Amino acid sequence: MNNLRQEWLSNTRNDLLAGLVVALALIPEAIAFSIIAGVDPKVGLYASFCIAFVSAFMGGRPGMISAATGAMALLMVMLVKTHGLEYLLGATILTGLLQIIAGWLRLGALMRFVSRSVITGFVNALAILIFMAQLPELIDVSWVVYAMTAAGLGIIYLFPLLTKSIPSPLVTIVVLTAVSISLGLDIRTVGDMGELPDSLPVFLFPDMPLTWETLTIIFPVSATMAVVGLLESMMTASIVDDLTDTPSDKNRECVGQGLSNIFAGFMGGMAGCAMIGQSVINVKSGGRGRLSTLTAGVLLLIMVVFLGNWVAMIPMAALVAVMIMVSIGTFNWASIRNLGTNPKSSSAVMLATVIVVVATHDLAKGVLVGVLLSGFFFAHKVGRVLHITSQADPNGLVRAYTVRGQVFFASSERFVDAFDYKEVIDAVRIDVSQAHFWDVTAVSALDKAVTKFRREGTDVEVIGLNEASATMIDRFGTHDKPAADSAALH
Amino acid sequence: MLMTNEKIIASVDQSDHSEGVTDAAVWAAKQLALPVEFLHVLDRHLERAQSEDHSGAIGVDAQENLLESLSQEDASKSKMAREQGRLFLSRLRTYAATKGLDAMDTRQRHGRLLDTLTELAPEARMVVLGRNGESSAAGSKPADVSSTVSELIKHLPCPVLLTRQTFTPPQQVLLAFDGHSATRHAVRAVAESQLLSGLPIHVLMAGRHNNALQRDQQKQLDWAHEMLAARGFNVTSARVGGDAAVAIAHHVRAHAIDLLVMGVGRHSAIRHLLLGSNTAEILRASQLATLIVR
Repeated sequence: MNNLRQEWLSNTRNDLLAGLVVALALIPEAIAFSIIAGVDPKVGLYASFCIAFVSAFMGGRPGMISAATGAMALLMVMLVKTHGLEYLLGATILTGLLQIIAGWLRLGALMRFVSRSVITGFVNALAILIFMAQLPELIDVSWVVYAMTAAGLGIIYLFPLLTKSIPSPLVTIVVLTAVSISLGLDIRTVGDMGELPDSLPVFLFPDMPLTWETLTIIFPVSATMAVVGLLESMMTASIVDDLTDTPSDKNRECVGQGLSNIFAGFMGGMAGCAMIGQSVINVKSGGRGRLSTLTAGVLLLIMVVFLGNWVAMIPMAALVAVMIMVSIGTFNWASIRNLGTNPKSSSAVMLATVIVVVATHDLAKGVLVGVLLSGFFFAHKVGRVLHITSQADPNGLVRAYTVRGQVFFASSERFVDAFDYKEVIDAVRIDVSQAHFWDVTAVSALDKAVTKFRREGTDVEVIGLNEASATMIDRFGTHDKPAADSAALH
Repeated sequence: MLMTNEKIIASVDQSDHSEGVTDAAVWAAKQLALPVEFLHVLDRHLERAQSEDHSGAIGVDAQENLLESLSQEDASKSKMAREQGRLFLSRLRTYAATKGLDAMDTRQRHGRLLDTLTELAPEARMVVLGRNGESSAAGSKPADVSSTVSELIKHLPCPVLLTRQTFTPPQQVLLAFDGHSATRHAVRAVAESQLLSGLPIHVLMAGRHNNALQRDQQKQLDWAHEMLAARGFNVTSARVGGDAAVAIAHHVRAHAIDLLVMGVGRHSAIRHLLLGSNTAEILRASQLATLIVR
């Protein structure tokens, strides 16, 4: 009870205000992301309401904002183009189911394999994609649109110098809409982009055949969306954790995202996830509790449904300005400044993630490449932690090799090459008790070395193989007690 | 830091209850011959925000700048609170010494009061708390027991002594008894402890009467009477009808009671009853120092 009260009511005034600020910034985003996905703005707006509403109650990170997002929108473009909105709604529900399963299986823990560089790459790629999504509104248009967008950005960044009590994105939207209406400018408005919500969302089962074929169509999209959604949510959750110095429940967040998406799908909304930019805005505006997320969702719906006619008149240039702000605020500029000083492998991972995402418009592929590359680089680095020394006995009949370090697939070749097979000697003694054999490759490398020596007529004695290969057990480390280890050595 | 569980933790904050808590702790320390540890908890209130920036604009390095400014804010607040807390505790130490307390220690901890006390309680024989403190809402009446305190009563495994702003060593003790295991345990605890030795004890059985139960209730009451009398307490026992909270409040006034003892069970139905509106009601109606035994 106490916890519930604390998560909801301990920061009421700030949460309500921050929720309002976020709701105002969510509207342009939801519209923009609907356009990216190729659906009517109402699909994104309904989704943003549903996702914010459900995740306020069920999410694992109080104060985090979830809604329709660009990362998800980019993944559904093809599905919408080829099969239409109803299949998207079905895919959204399936995404939710997969995310709930991920939560139950506690897959949130897998985030530890996603390195800092991959996360930075993900965030940067996201910012670039949000920016690129604005380009269609800026290409082949009259100079008026450029002027409006520039003025919008000017207001967004300069108005806070005047006062920080009114959200500057709101001022931008109001001023640009007023200018556009009063001057009768012939520029594109939100109303030109498709249908806006004229009522509250209603519960509907997606109109699609429930067949195996349908599943084969939506499953790949849903699986990718589930992964990308959880990745962005987990990243955002840890950003909010850091900012507020409070912990979150990652597995509850997985289930919460899943429930949000299922609800969104049934209410005619597209899939979404946590939003880095909006969550930062929320925390900055003083949002800490669940009430901020709920307020954002509910106010968004109220404003859109009741001010729908006005929303339709907002010039797209105003939304573009807001979205450029979000992309600038999301991008990790420090990663560019640190390109020179960070290890080359880290920079390579970050850049590879960005390039793959921008090329494929699929954040999941980028993360996969990033994770694989970090794995390669890590294996390469650790593979160098292998030192083999040798000493012949005074008679020159026996040579003792001492192996220290890590022997596994990436270092096995170096291991085999480290022995001098051509030396004419009676016997060698290979002491591996201070080495770790991590996999089957390591054992076969040792076999190879032994065989090579024997072919030269040299006797081989291997010492300490048991200690060295203890690491090969799959669950190594889980029941690895230092005390037991040292007992075994004596 | 006193590491044994042979100590009394006095939870103090910079509110008007700290004097009462100190006096109560000094009294309990003398009765039990135990040292006192004054605990001051510094809560940064991470669930609350200070920000006044509702511009909603995020620019270059938004996240880094925000983290930087939030942590700087927290750091300066923490440092100030730490210094203030240190001064407060040293004043308290001097005050307790003038009241004749020798064996004492002070400790400051970061975190929420509830978490900190729950964590430290196993080290203590008893916790002394004010009925409310800094954390209670500005509008609440000083007589009310704050929600934090009600929550603490539920979670702490050891006896809790709740005091008002002022505390005088008790002369007349009232034990609220209903015959259930939790209150029977309270009787046993009182009988075995040195805390109330030598004080006259009123055992009051209150609540609605039902004929079938009456004989059983009288038997329970007799048991409690015997138990305490055997330990040399001067016992008066009584059974009254009507609402427990009202009956207790009435008895308190009629007999100049200055300490109320209540037993609280872990899983019993009475726990629900006592910790539901009933405990709060009794606590509010009685308006006096209360010892809660589980």
